[in-house]
Amino acid sequence: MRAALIWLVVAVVLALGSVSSRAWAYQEKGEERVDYTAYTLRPWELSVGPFKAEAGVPGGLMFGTYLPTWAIGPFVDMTIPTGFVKLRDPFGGPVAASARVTVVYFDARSLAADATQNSGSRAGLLVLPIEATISARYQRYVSQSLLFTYVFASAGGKEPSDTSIRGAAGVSNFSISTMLEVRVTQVFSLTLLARVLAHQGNAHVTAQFSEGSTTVDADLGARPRQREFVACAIPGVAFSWEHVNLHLGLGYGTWWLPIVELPLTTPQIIPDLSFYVRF
Amino acid sequence: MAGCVAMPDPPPRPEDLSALAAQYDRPSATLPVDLVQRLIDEGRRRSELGDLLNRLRFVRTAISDTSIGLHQNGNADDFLLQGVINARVPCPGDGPEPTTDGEVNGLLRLQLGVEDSRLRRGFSGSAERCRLLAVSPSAPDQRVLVSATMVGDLGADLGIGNTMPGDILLKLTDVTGSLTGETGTIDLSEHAYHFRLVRGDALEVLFDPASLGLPDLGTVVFALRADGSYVLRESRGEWVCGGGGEACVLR
Repeated sequence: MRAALIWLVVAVVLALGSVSSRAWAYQEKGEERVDYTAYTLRPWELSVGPFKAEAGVPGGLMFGTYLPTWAIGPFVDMTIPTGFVKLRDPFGGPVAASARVTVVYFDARSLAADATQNSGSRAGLLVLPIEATISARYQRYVSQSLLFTYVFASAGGKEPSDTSIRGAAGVSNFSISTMLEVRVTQVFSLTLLARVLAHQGNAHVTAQFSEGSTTVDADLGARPRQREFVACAIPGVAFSWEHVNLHLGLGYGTWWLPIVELPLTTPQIIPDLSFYVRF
Repeated sequence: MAGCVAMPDPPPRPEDLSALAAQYDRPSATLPVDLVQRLIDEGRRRSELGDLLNRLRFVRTAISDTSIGLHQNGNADDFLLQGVINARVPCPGDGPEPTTDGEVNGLLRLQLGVEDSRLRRGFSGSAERCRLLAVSPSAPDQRVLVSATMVGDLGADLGIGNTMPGDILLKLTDVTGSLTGETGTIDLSEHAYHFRLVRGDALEVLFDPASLGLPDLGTVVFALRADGSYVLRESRGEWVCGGGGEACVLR
């Protein structure tokens, strides 16, 4: 019964898409998908969903933030400001290029205080994903994007009165991704997102800990013992109505954590869902 | 660009004691029986300083703690670790019970290198105005104050998480300090002094009988066990001397 309902919903959605009177699909100039592509929102266009909010401004610029990080802050007593800026090339041709920088900062002071039973404890995590993207429209129905993503993460903590927790860590990695989008109808598109971890950088940790009566200051680098192949492929479907946009995907491989763009280590089935309204 | 995070280098290697450790393993002398008792007496004299320093057992404790702490706080199974470890441990103090007040008791500092997720066998360190109570049944309550620089050798690289280095060879230089007891104060200064702490807490000292004006016979090792018994080791085995004027025998 549930499967039948799902198929019914899918059929209705596809039907709606096929009778749509206007080409709202992404490959139309100014209507392109902005996730995993070099494209940006039109000036003063807004895109809002449960996951993020972003706005286009003149000059090919786009700003945004991730809403869940702000929303969960009061519940975990932790401030997590996030934001990104994306700049597209000014030419507006079929081949577009962009650069994007995201900043994520976890001020984990309260978590550190709970963990150490010391109100003076401080801890923070800064994640800096930097992305360069090239997108091309082969024709009206097909577009492909190539993304190069470098992520630097730096964590620091300090526990002032006893020395069980204190230190800092830095790690970086470099990923290559591609997003293929094939428009089937005016509303409906097929997508394929593939990602591969091209380089896992070393981690550098400075830490102080106590064991027994011994206090240890460590200045250590860490590199993975095995260079594992880390990748994923997520086929999906996208629906783009006049304002409402929905993207559903299901793939397999290593999941890149949203926002911070850091890959996990264990391959798994990866669901992908995004919903947003552009206006 | 992705390699922006550099691996820290391990510290420069301290003086290599592996050759000295090999001499402890294989003393070269072949002793005539009539020299054994004299050399045992010399061994007892040479082992006194190490014994008064409580055989620096807390060096072993500090290294074990460091290894365990790294294992608990790091992930040496999935990552290759490399870098520098600086450990400090308060000396036990010269009160009736050991304490951990480093400001009063002084500190032992150790610097260890980490390569391929293993602690290098060679390390360096220092004892800074280190106070401890000498454990001696014959003369209790002897308070020791000592400072020294040191290099050490664990016999082999120590895997992170391993708790007990088998043997620790310690070479102290520029030793300054004093021993204070009921009979007064004795100067403990030595330019250089080495001993080895082996499994079972036995203390070993290596010396050359030629340094006593004896013929060049090679080296011997005097081993003072935790229970106070002792043997003299040479190339053929161990000399054991019974009490009551019994002859020493080679086993």
